[in-house]
Amino acid sequence: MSATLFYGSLTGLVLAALLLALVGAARRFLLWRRGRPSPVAWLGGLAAMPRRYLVDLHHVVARDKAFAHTHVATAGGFVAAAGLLLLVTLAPLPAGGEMVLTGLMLVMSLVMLGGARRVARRRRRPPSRLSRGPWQRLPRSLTVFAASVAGLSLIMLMVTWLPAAWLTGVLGGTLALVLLAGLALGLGEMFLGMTWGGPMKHAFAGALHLAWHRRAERFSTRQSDRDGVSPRSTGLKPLDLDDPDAPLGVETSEDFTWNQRLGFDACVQCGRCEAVCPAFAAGQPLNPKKLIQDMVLGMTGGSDAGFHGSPYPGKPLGEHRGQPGGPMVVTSGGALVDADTLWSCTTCRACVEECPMMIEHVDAIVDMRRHLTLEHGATPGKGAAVLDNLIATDNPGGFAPDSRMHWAADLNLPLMRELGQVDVLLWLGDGAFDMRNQRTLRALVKILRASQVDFAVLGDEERDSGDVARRLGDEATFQRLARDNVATLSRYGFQTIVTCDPHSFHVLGNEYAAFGGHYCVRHHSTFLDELLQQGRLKIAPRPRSRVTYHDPCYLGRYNGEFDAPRRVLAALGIELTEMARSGFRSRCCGGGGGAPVTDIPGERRIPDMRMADVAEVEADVVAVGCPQCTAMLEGVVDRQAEVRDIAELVAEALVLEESVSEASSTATGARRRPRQTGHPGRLVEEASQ
Amino acid sequence: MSLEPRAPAAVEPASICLDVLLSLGRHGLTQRPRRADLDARALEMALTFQHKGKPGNTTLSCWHAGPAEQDTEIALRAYLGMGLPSIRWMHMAPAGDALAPLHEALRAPVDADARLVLCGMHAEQGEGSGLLPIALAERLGWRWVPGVVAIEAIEPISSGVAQAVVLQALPRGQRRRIAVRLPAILGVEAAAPAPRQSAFGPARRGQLLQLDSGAEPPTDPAGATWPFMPATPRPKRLKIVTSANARERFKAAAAKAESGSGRVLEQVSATEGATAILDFLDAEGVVSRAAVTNARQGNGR
Repeated sequence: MSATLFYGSLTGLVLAALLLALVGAARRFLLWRRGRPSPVAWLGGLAAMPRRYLVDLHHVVARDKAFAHTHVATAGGFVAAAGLLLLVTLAPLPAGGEMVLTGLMLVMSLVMLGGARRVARRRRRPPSRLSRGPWQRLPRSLTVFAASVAGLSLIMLMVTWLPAAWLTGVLGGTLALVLLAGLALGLGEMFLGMTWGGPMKHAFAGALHLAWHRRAERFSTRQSDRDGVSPRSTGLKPLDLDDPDAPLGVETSEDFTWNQRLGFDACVQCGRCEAVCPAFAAGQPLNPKKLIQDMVLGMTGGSDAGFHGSPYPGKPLGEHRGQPGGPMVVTSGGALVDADTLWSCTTCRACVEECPMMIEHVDAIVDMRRHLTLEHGATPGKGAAVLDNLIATDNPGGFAPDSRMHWAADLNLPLMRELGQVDVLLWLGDGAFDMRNQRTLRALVKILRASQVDFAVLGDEERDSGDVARRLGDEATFQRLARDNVATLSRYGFQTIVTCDPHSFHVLGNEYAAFGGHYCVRHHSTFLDELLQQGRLKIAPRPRSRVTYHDPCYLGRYNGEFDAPRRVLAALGIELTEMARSGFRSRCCGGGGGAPVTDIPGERRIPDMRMADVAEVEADVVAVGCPQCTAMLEGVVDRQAEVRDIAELVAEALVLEESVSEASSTATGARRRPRQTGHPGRLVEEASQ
Repeated sequence: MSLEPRAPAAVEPASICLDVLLSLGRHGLTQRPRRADLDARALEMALTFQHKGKPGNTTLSCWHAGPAEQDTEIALRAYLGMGLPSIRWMHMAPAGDALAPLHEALRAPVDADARLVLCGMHAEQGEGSGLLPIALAERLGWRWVPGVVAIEAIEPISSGVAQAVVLQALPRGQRRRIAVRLPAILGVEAAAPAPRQSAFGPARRGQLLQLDSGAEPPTDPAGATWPFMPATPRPKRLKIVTSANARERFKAAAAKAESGSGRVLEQVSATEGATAILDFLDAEGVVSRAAVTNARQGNGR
């Protein structure tokens, strides 16, 4: 083979692969764009993409250190080697420069080769969360590509020194042919597969997904790094209910926004979501990884028989198929996803937290639930009854709204209606109707009184925050409740809202802003932590038996509060025994997203699994900070550990000074209490008169 | 008594016309407007029947007669949310009687082989006496079946005449299957299947076809002077069991109310039957002794 032929075929191969890949990219881009519009910063997003990739994405990948190194070597080596290959073959370069770049290309392809071998080693006995099928072939393709590029670089370096006859000889010619064939194979997987739907699609779509993500505020920036905050964007996006032509949720794949569709294509099928999904572990018919692949089928059409991962528990592959423009959810006849798959989700966000490609599973699930509830009235289980109750009585249990304060009949709680202006508004949540949560609330009131916080409650004016309605897909009822609550809150003056319900906390803090409600909201654990740090709370630490802490999803993953509850427990003299899954990996109690209401059957119950986690660390007490978690975990039969809210543990350890305890027991009634006072001295004086 | 489920009619009339009468509901605790529970059950029954039958065989029209008040539309849209394309709403003066406009609307002949009207046994507000469908049936000359929990079949019996086979609820979960010659008005009972969820999308899209009820309907001058107050559940008669024995007391509490005091009259004349009923009403203190005597005298004449 002559040198001209060699260089000619090399350039031809690379050019053809590049052009075909570009055609594929354009087709895929137009496919995504068939979704609904969603404004993005086109250039700004692309400019921010490298940082999002290197910082935010790598931050997630790096939770698995070994594989992170593998990925850095493989992906980094590939990007560099492919870029150099394009430069060397397609760009006119001075001879000296070409030599340097070819040398670099050799190094980078060897780095990639090393990575590819480690990928191959992991693929030898892959864990069940990984997909097989074409994904098993990927390490071989990576190896072939890296080895071919390395070999070709070597030849290109050597032709300068070796006699020209070497390449035209039998040995040299065969080697060159083999390497060129290897390159053709590698380019097929790495360039064409990227945009025509092979496993490498994740790199192409993933990069653009990072650039044009629907929640750009999720990603860190230099500013957020300086401020030391980890940005979160967890509130659901409101539906436009004023426009009668706007779709109510997602019926067909085209009802997703175009960048949600782009996000589905970004999935790398790593199965980290599957590994943490509580519904999947419970044997309920949900697997977040499969769901995202089904969303891809919704765009492209075809049967799910081509999926090579774990199916939805209890639902064999090959029975569902997608069709562009066709319905996503089975309402009658064939479609892509059964409704019970969607209703199994507890919206715990474990999948989103684990996803290295930053895919928003929960958004997609709620979008499809919205269609089922708002268009078909098909909320399963007790969902319809709960929504009817919320519409008629503003609470999910259907209790008389004027009985909301019955639990506090003896507490003489100060009412916002009478005070008008306080420091702290205590948001009770619907736990006010629940006898178990009433104990928590009483403990919290005791603490607030002991630390002489100037607080009041809304009383009967409070309504459900709308959390359950929204997650059951009833956006109309949620928006009505949100508007009513915002209108009520706008009448009063307060600095902080404190609540012992992380669901209310999340909704008030993150989801009311779209309806004009901007509040400083604190979960009670955060507020107690602040009181402790200000020295306003006197507690007597005492040794306890083994205590573990269960992070509520809506406090931890949704709002990033992992430390305050632990600091409060530490102040009580408790040395926490952490469960294997705690912090951002905390396992859901099964109580979120309306899951206890829709009650999709599975093989196990999610709270049982969580209490098994507690039993595993041999804890006697599990501290919680959420009425839902309390109810779910206390409902476990034969549980070994006691379920106590943080407020209850603090209230137990409270040191009451004589005068203060008197003040709190002899009804510091709202009327007797002077307006706008937070001054402890006066309060005690009044009470002792 | 339990009834075997009945197979659907082998032959269905070529066209069935179902009308559902819808009234406004109010939630018992908060007084917020909503669909009336019994009427919603009637509508559910009609929708289920329509869905079960041959497509296009059954036409369904829904009627509401009432004044346009603040909450009317909210309540009517809750019915639309069950998947109705439209409701025909006949406007009336606030104190008007719905009987006349409904009679006017239903009297018009329709081109259907079978005609059936469904409504709840009584309304959730206003008088709520449950008299409207009875008065309507009387005025139209149609049959009235109270306490219906299911329509099992509608079948032709001779040319131009059809009958409906319905299940009627009796006390303590008992059911009676009866065949009624159409046209008829069915009063739907609380034991009928619960209504489907009302969805926001169809509720927003559905149309309220505003109809002028024509001539001003007669008002109800007596009703205007009546004081209205929230209804409270009728107190139950206490059954006092004096026994020191816990087992006895438990048995008394758990036992179903005995029906031994009743009398079954079979093959008696109308007079004997009427006398027995009047005697019973007299014993229960429902009618006065004088009225009974008068009635007996009238009877004897």
